[in-house]
Amino acid sequence: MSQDLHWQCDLDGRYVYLNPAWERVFGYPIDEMLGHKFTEFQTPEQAALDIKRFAQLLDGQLVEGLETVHLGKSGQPILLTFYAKPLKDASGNVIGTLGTAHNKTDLIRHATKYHSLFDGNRDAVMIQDETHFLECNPATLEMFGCPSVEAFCKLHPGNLSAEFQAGGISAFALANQKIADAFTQGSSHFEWLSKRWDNGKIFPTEVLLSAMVIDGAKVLLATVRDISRRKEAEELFSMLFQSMTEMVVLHEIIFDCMGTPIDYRITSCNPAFSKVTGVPSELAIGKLASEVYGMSPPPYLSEFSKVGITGEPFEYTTYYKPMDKHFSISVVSPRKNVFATITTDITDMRHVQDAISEKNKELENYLYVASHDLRAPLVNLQGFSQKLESDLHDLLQVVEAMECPHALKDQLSLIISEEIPKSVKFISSSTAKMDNLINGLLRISRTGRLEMRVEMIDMNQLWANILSANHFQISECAAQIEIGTLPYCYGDREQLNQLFSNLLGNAIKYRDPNRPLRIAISGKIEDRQAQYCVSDNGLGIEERHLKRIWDVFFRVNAHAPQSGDGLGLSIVKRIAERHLGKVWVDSQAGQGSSFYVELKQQLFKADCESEAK
Amino acid sequence: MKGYKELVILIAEDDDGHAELIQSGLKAAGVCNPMVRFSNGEQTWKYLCESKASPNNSPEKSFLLLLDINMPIMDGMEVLRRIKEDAVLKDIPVLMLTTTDDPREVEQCYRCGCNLYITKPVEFPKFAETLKRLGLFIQIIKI
Repeated sequence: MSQDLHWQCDLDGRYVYLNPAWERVFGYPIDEMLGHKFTEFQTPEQAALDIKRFAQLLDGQLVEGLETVHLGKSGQPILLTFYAKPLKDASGNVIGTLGTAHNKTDLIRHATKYHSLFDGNRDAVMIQDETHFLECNPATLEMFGCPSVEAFCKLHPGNLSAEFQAGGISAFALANQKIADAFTQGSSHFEWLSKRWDNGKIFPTEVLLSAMVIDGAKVLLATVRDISRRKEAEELFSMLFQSMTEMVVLHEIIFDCMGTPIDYRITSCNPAFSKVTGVPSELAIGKLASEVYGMSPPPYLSEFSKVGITGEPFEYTTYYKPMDKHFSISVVSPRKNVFATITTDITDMRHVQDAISEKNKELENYLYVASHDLRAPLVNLQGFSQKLESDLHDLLQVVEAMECPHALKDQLSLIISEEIPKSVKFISSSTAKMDNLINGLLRISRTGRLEMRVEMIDMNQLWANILSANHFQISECAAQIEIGTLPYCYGDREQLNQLFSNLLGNAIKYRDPNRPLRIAISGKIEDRQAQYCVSDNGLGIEERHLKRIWDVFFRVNAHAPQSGDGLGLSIVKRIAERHLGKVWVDSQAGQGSSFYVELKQQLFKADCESEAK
Repeated sequence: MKGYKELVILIAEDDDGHAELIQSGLKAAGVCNPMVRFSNGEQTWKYLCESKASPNNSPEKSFLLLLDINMPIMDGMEVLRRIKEDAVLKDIPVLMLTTTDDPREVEQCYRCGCNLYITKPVEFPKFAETLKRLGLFIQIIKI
């Protein structure tokens, strides 16, 4: 807003009259300015210029629109535009000057601001009317490869466009239409195929036209943004979305007035969805799931809405009877109250898994039957070995009581009391070994056949039970046990107890006699699975044995006194497999071993039938 | 010794070795009761039926049956079932002797009414003691 300043000066240029506006603009009280020369309120350079003009003014030359700079009380520059004429007395003698000054400081500031906004803008900003461009900023010249504003302003938007826009429409016609729309509606926002002036290269842009009045004329302010990168990304995504074999469906959750999820609506789906379900996208998009699937509440409502609300992803597998296919479904939430299901056909994989499972069952059955049938002859071997021993004992007594030459008696005695018993002992011990082996085989084949009751397991409680059950062995070897807070998992309580007991037992069995045993039990969640670690500072395992420790009956040193039956780790592995989990070991001979067990944190179906009815 | 019923031990076992071991084992533990051995369930059942019907068999005879499960032609489970369904025979004490310790099978035997389930190999002194404790008239002469 310009503030009109009125003044009068004497022949020396001293202020003799100033209106109140001077105080507002300059910050000095009027009396402080009156009687002072105007040059006192200027920089020396500016004052030099103005003195000349002042002299011209006294000479009779009028001053119109003279721009000059004065300084305010705090030294701030004040831009003034002067309109001045000589002041004459009644006789017509010049006695001073008078006039009006306009404060242009704010205007200049605004103009500068406007200039920065326009020139410094990285987006291409230009002003145009119906027929051509009027003005443009440097970014525009750069975007279109135009050498100058003059050259640019000779152009019509159609000149900077691909000849045919989307839909095969002529650029000139469409541009004129967009311009007309912007004038009538106030603005227009659209995508465009622009073209560089210098090399004719086509690139996708986003255009915003805003109607405004500048200097009394109706013009459009146009902002143009290059969206090549965005377009590329959209293309890529679109290609993927259209061509992938996985079904992708986007949904939004529908809430009732209380904010409870009651349904979900399909907002988008890819061709794979229609191909697999037979539902064309036109019939699915916009529809409520309860309609499409014919059930209320729609399937998995609580699980899906949880994903959409919390953002926590969810995975599950399911069998789709109408198509006799198995699917793995991953549910994610790209933003609140929206979720996407990504469905993969895992039927083939499932068939292979089933075949493997069948084979496993078959092999385990052979194992079971064989071990079982071997028991019967073993009973005879053991029984008759014992009978031999006792009959020999009787025979010896008879021989002792016999009347016969000493030499003969001695001979008989030797055979009966030494030779034969020695043989029998070997037979006995071998059959005992066989008995052990067969029992072991039966145990391990049973592991694969036992019924599994899968439930959520509090691992801290499980370990508390294991440690208390093994309290004696732990204190006997003065072992120090460190146990952290463990995440929960899903599984059969008894089998998991067996698994971890075996690991604990091994840590105790294979401790290093030269240092106190320390066992650390820890757990964490990794990739949505529970991962546990039982770590010890015992004997460790040599690298060459690492692969075989999981084999049935394998022991590094079968003759060592602390050696077990060689089944512990095979059972651990088998139980982990039945829980759809993994086990592995990290070990350094002479330093210790760390056994890792990965288990699921969700309900699952055990991988084979149960032994029970 | 009037009013004293002679206890005959019936042994149904298809494996000759096992049968031999049971008999000599019991004898060595001091059991002197007469023993009759059958090689399969069918033979066993026939004998039991005849024992009911035959007028020669005195009511003074009572039985104890040691029954193996895995036998050809008719297995132990079938024999057990038939015995327990028969009004006269169901009182005969039946001890299942077998190699398997499959808990499913064990439960099934008990549900069908067997008195005891023993896994081979048998510890004979203990076994003889168990027989006594079952309240059976087993003549035991310690050597």
